[in-house]
Amino acid sequence: MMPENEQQDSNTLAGEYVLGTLQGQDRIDFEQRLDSDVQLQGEVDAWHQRFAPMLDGIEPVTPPNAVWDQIAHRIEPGQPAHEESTGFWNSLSFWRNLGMVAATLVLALGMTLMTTRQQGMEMDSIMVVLNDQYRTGWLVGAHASEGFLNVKAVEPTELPKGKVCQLWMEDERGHLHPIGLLPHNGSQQMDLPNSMSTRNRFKVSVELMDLLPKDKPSSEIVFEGKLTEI
Amino acid sequence: MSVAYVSTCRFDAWSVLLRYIYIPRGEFMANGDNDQQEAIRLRNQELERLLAACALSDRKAFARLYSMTSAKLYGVVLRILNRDDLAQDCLQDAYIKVWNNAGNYRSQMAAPLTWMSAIVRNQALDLLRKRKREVMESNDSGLPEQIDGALLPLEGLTRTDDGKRLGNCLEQLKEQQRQVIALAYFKGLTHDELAAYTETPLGTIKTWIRRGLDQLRRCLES
Repeated sequence: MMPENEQQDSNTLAGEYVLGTLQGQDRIDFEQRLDSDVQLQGEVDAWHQRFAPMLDGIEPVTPPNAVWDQIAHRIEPGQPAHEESTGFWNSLSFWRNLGMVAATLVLALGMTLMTTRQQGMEMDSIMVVLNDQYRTGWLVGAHASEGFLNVKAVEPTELPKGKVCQLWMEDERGHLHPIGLLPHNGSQQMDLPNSMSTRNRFKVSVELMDLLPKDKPSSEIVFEGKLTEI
Repeated sequence: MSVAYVSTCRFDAWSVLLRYIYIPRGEFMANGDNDQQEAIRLRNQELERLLAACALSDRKAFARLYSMTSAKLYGVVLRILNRDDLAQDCLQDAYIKVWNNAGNYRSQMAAPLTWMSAIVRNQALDLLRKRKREVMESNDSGLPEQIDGALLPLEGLTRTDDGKRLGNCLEQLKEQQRQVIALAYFKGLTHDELAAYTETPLGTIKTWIRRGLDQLRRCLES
């Protein structure tokens, strides 16, 4: 366990990092520590939360329409991925990635992220599938008129080799229909059975990759939920 | 280097600071508190769903997210940068970051607007620092937009429960500690710049901030 003085120092450093007064080599050293120090990441998160109300007092100001026009243009399919795409944020704590480090790494990961995205989807309902830590494991989106789901891995559950998470959809009679395997990374489209609606419930089971069941899950359900309209 | 930069902005700093960093005690909203909390909860739920849809590349959801949050975030950027042209470019870049990183938002870590505000604030402070470096390299006469005489927005701390708690804890700090923390947070001033701007020894500034943060944390956790 960390001595109290050391704990206090690292907490204050985290506060200075969020405040912005930690600069130069101290900031670089701090960010290097932050990369692997989960406790420090939690302290940075906590400071962001503590300071958040500071921004509440600022009066809203409507930006000119041209700002949105520019943004809309930049996210059109086919536009190059700019330096703003920071896959660097994919680690446990996003806050630490708000600094100015590892620009080349940021660009490389950002480009990877962009290439895995499928452009131009429009969703009218969304479901967050929780992982074994009760955090966002996958995002599932659907459009009522489309016959498929769009599934994106966020923080998927770590499974033993040979095991996978299988997504099921429940019909009105309580029967489960296999929809697909939740991806371990990137995005994936999954076709929906013709008779099914996006109003049905979804369930997830953990299965053996080589013995995927088709009628019903072979193990207990680890998650269930419904799509929610946006 | 940074001393030269801030010295161009100095104008009887303490008297201005004493005037504009004031936290009024809120005694309102007792009746509307529940309604307001419910409205915030519903808004957060919608923003979470929109961010999830953005992560799945839904541009329509992104447009809705922008319409719900851009005025708030533009206000933040404008407050930090004080210039329309810079603020508009900065807001644009910040939203591209939100779009590209929506899949990394974690609701257990922060409310959606807190997450987006942190992105926007950091984007604005990065821009401010970049311009500072450019000015220093060109020996220009400084960045008059960085610090102005307008009120820092601490008076808004009475609007939410978290804000009231933070406001009460800030009130327990020494005036100077509160002032340098607010200037660093809103204007991105470094230790050196705060020392120059307030005409206070650097060591004293560092002590004020460290002790101020420690005291703030203890107060908020109590």
